[in-house]
Amino acid sequence: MKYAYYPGCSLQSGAKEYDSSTRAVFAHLGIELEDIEDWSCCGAVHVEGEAIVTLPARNLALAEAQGLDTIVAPCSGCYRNLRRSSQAIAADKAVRKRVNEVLPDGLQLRGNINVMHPLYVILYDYGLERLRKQVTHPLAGLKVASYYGCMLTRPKDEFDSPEKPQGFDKLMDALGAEVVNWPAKAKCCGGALAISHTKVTAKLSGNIMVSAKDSGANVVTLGCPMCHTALDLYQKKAEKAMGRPLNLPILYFTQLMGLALGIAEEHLGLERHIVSTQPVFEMLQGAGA
Amino acid sequence: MANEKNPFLVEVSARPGGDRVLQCIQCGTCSGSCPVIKEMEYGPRRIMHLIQAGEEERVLSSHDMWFCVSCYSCANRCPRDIHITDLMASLREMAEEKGYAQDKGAEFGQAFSETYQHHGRMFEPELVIRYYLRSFDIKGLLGMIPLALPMLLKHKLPFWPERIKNPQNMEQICVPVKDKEEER
Repeated sequence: MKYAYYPGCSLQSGAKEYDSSTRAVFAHLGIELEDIEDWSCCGAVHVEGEAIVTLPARNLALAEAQGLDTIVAPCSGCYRNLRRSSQAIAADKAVRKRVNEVLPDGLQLRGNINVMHPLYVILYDYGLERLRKQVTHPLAGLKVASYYGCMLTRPKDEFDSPEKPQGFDKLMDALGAEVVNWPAKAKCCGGALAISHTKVTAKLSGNIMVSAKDSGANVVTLGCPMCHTALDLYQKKAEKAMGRPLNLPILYFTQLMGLALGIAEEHLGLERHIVSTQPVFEMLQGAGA
Repeated sequence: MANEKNPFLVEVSARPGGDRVLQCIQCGTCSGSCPVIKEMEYGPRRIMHLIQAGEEERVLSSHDMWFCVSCYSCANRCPRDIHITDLMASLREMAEEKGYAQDKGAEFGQAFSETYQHHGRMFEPELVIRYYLRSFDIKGLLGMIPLALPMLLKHKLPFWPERIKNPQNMEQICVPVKDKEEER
């Protein structure tokens, strides 16, 4: 298994721990990731018109030039943008022609590039049965609320339900964690408004964390750096908006996989979080004692 | 779909997400599904109606599309398969083009795309400087200070931008082909 790896901008700055834990987990499982050289920004939610297709398409063409046909993009926003571009190009010859007209440096996109989120690579290409056999440190003691956010499951695609997604829950079950059933798992964190309308983000992310806590969760897992920012970095603001303390550790699913697979902590970056992840270790030890 | 009496509808229909606006049956599933409906003046259902009625100024000068969080809840549930989330992005684009945009979200969007077009990748410190210089959002800036310190302590803010080899190529793939032809 070899994939083109598109880290995206966040994984180079605020979400380095998502990058390092993804690389470590994939290497541990024997899934090869080859970085797309000279990749560029996907535009996030600030891209309009034809650039919705042409901007991400540069990365598709770069992957193709490296002889790879499937891209793994850990940021849900990048995943969605790259996938949407790829689907639009595959569906319409006129779109492909237009893309090839504007691609710089003699780049051309001839074939179709598949775009996947690392969660889907684990679930559908690697397989949970295989993964179960690799778990050396089951996550007993963790009550995990799996948070999907938006772009991972919407617009509707082939991998999971946009309303009642299950992917993370199945993964967490395979890692030995207790899966919490909760109503806000597919609601929006408001990350897109984090700087321009901070109060809205605080309210939306606060609602999500209150729902997780009230459903009995002691940790939230997710697979999007923007959601992580809204739930981790903005948790103090969310506490203020909700009028109650939250103290909820927010972990990338790859960090939890790393813990369950016994991967060295130096690769997991758990010390980089704003909300302390120390309680997670205490819960795990408490269950083991 | 020529419609001389409703040029706004014709224009919207030609944009991403706009092709099925006339299919809206005003069921309200979109507004009922919207997580930011409380922040909006009209909400997606009434925006659809206003577009059908040709109310360009009311639609494009509204703040509603700037509160859209692109969560795709509305589009996912729409029984008429209208791509409402993509339409909101097109309305933001049109509001910018026609000079109606007056929301901090518009300033942020501009600052964001300027930054990634400058380097080919995002560089958060520059994004933040560009945004506050555009918006003069002093209150917002003060609110960010408690976040900046822990970010610095946790090495979550880069000091130096990551750049692609030829950032000058970004304009070519970011400015739509159509606009370029019009400029010629």
